[in-house]
Amino acid sequence: MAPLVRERQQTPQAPAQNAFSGLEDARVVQAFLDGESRAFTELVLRYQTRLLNFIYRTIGDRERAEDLVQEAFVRVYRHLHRFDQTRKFSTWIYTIASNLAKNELRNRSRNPLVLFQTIRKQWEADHRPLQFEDTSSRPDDLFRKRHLRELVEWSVAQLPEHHRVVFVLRELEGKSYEEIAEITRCNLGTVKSRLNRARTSFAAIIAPHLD
Amino acid sequence: MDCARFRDSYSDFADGLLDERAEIALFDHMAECPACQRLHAAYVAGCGALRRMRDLRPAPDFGTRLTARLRREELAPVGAPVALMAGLLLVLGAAASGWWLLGPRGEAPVVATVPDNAQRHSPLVVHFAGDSSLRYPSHFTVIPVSREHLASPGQPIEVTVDWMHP
Repeated sequence: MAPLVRERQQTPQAPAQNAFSGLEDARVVQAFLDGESRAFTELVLRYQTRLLNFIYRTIGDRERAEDLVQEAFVRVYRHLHRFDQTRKFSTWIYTIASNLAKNELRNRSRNPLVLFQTIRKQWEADHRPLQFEDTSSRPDDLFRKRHLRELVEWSVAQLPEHHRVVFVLRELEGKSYEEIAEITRCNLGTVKSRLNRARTSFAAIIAPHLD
Repeated sequence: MDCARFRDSYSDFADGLLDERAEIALFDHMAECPACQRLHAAYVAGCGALRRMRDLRPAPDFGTRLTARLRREELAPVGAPVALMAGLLLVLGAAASGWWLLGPRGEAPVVATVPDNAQRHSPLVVHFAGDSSLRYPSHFTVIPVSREHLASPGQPIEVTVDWMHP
């Protein structure tokens, strides 16, 4: 039996890509609802990396982010027949991912063990030897790059959750204000004010470290 | 323009949504306010670094794991509440173990007689007697308390009883 989801790296010429790669999301969704299971593969290929990065930037735990992306696709698979096709599929899938990330943060704040495990994973990542990171750069460049990456990630993580989600959706995912309002189920005014607060807070947090 | 106004309109400025006049006012303020200038420089540098960060890629086995999960989804009845599923599994499991433990076996078949005054979900005593089959009202599932009861056919045993709707 052919796998439902193929690895892009392993099958760069996968049939699903040939059949659906040029189509808009709405057409791919319709194909899946019409019984074409390979259309789901295309949706996974289109969104797996974007969702992984969005959730990771929101919760700060890579492994858990990947679990949540899987969960998001399972929910899409299960509920796609109920999806209102007058809406954008990307907004819908980001709404699912955003809710999963928010629940994760909420559960984490209630569960000290999960919090401890997250801190431990972060500590292990921080103390990974530099030579495993990138063999094409000099150690001082590697250190500077890692330092900057950590600084930026740390600064994003300092933002309150409701500011962080809006910030990541706008700055990294390039979503419009309207889409962010739909994903976060807030009105446009709230999105704008949260984004303004998030941007100025982010700048204020990172500024002393860039001097 | 003062610093508070600068901060209030900063997001619109970053998105290029300010009209020309407001934008000039903002630049004029920045030219004379080192704090706001620094804030803007930090935002540009920080967001630039954020966008330049390499995307995380899903693990190589991401698709395989997802496929396995979706296979399980396909096998599971869609829309069934978890509690209902758990309850169904419990009842099936109890019925199966009841049959395995109390069912006719070899040379020592038993008969269970459930009294007419049995209450729902309450323990009751079921009397076993030597016979060729296990009998009890069809709307009861009989679950023995322990395996030891199998060793004493013909002896009274305590069982839990669950009500099965006809």
